[in-house]
Amino acid sequence: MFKLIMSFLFKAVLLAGIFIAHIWVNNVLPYPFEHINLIFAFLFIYLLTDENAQALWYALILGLFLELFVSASFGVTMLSLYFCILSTSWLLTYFLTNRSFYIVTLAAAISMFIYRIYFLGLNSIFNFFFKRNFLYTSRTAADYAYEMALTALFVMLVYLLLSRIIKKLNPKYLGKYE
Amino acid sequence: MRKSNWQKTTILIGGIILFLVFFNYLGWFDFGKKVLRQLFVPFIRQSGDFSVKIKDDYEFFQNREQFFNAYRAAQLSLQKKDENEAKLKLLEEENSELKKQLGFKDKTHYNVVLTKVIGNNLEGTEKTIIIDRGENEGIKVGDPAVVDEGVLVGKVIKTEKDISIIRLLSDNQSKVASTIINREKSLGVVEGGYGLSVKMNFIPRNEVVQIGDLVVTSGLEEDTPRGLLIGKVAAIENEAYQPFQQAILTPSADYNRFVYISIILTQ
Repeated sequence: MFKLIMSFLFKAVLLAGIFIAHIWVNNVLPYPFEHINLIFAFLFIYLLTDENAQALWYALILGLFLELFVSASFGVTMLSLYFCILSTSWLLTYFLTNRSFYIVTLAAAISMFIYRIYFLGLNSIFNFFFKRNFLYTSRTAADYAYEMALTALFVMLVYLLLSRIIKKLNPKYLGKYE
Repeated sequence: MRKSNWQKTTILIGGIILFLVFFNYLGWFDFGKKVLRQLFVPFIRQSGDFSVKIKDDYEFFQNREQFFNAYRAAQLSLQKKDENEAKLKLLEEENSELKKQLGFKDKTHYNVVLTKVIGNNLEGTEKTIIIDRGENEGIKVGDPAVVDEGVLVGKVIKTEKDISIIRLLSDNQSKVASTIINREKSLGVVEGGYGLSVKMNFIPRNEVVQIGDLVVTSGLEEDTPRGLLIGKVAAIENEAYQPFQQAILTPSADYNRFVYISIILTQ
């Protein structure tokens, strides 16, 4: 029971910490580094070793926190994250199964791209029903491209660091966890 | 085993999300959202203050000459502003007299709500801010947001009962109908998405635009009154093969430093 409570508290603090770190990255870093999506990076790296679909729970909670501070209609960010995590999990299981750092980087970039596709699609649908305008311009695309590139690079750096520390992330030990 | 775990969790979480979305639009979660926002707003404020502080520290002078040049430029600018203020006062008096004579009604009585900025958009690719007033104060989507004495900084794009979200002019989806205070009163559209500056596009090529010209709202949009200051022309792009010229503007407000913003309530 005590272990369960401690585990729950640890996860709550971890999620709050990730969200607060995302706030700081978004507000403090200069352009274009403010586009680094820390929440997505955390979920992607967690997904690399997730056996029990916990990444989906984390996506739900972090998506809910994000919904409080975004201009898109309620539900767009949560659903985009949800579908993105499902698609990424499928991608990592059946296509990009290699865990070398360059494949992880590529997978992160593709996953971020998928997230934005879902986001734009859901935003368009919600805006159609709630009669809001969403102007997608070349500059929006440039911002999304920055986000994709910088987040993928950030994931690569974190992965390179963590794979030295955590055995589960190190490709050398992968066979032992099959 | 792994696959069934994923399947069960996918269905469960999908159901929870649909539940949250559906009942949010019925207003069931307003109190919960307010409480959660209050938990994170101090962190947003701290990070915003820290961000402004470190950006202040970027502005240092590399040598004595640079410092004195900046000082002299500031003195000249102040002198020009005093001269312009005097001219403006004279023009205001003349204008007032003319309006009385022609029987125009004074349309510049704005109904204004003063609000405080409580956060920024965390979505990462949008330049929007969150304020602490919403539908309860009569704010609606499309209302202009101003600072100082009529400097337009953005428009309301989303409202809830107690908060609203404003899209700043520097956002890449922002577009405002505007006019340049020049001889031709050139019309154009001010767009964001260029980092710290904004651009005015679709200015007719044959009209003369000079560096330093002021740009204000044209009043051609339904909810945006005429005459709200946007910025000053800093550079002009006029290519021979283009049908329109563009002006890069220096905004009259610093989009990173808002604490209080006024919303003009429009009918």
